[in-house]
Amino acid sequence: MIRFFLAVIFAIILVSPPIDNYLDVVMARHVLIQIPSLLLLGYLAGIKKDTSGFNPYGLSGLIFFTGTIIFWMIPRSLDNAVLFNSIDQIMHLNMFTAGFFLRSSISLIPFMVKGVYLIQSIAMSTALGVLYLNYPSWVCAVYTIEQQKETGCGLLFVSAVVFLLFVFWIIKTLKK
Amino acid sequence: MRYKFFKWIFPIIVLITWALILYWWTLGFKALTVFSYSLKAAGALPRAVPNISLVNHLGKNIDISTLKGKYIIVNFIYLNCPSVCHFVSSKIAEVYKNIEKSNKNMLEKLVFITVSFDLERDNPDLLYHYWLHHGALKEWQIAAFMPNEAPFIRPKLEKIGVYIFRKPNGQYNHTIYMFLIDTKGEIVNVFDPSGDAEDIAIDIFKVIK
Repeated sequence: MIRFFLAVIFAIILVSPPIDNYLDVVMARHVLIQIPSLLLLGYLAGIKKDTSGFNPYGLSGLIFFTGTIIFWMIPRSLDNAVLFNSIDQIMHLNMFTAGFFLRSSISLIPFMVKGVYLIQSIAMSTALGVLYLNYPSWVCAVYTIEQQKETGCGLLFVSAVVFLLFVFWIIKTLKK
Repeated sequence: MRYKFFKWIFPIIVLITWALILYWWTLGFKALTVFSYSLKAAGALPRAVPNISLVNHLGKNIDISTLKGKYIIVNFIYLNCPSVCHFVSSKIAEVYKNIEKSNKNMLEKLVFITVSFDLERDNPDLLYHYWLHHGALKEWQIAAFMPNEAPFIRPKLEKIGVYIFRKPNGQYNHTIYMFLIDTKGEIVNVFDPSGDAEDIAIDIFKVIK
């Protein structure tokens, strides 16, 4: 319960105007700090409860999480989140709840599905990083080309780190 | 058995809901950026171009409607752009030279117009220097909106399918597409200048028979 309240409090601080504005104005901060932080805080606030009755193999939580990520990675969605406060708040809530539901789903997801999902996610974020680095024009209307390239670099770095962690996780799981 | 089926209903509903939301938001998975969204939202091709009154780099007034009878490639920039607009202009110069090299007669039917939407800063003098810098190509006009068009610039650009966003520092992010207007004054094709200049020239040839 304490973990839940702490996560909610930190999430509220993260989306409060001065911090939210600071994070929203730069693409790398928005994509690489605010969004993952909200997902993580939602996950930490989540409850490990048996939801297999309506969440077979964790699918409902995984689909909701995936849909959330896909939707808010669309450049137009990011633009609207920066331009319109109401859409920004919807994004914050959506990210938090996606992390929240993922917590109760993750233990239900089979090992192979987790593995394949992670590989796909790493591949997608690498592809996105390459696109942001190399595309000669803006994908988002509210950010500059330089910010786009920075975000591309950041995504490639994060993909590499996640890949290494994934390899350690596989080795650790196989050793068991 | 019934219970086993029931537990699958929820993830199916979540999947269908997200698929529908994404389909709606991206106009059928075809518009991921505000630029492509504005283009699609402007309507299907061919579509009419609103009448636009411009002043070109030679200080001459031109009306898009008076150029009916010629094919027009039009795109939109502003001269204080730090990078992208100059990349697009360089690409246009490449396309022009490609057409000139392959079929010079085509240039009698075709005119390139690059329009600045930055009324505050871009005047005919600056447009002229920009035209000189990019090769002073005969059938390429660098123009700006007439001052009396100021209240109508955004609605007219929206009708064409162009999105512009002015950032707090005075810079703009905007659509970079090139629009091919036929002799009847209708947009018949849209090109992404990030593509190959030769491919763009070939696509233009296909339309201008």
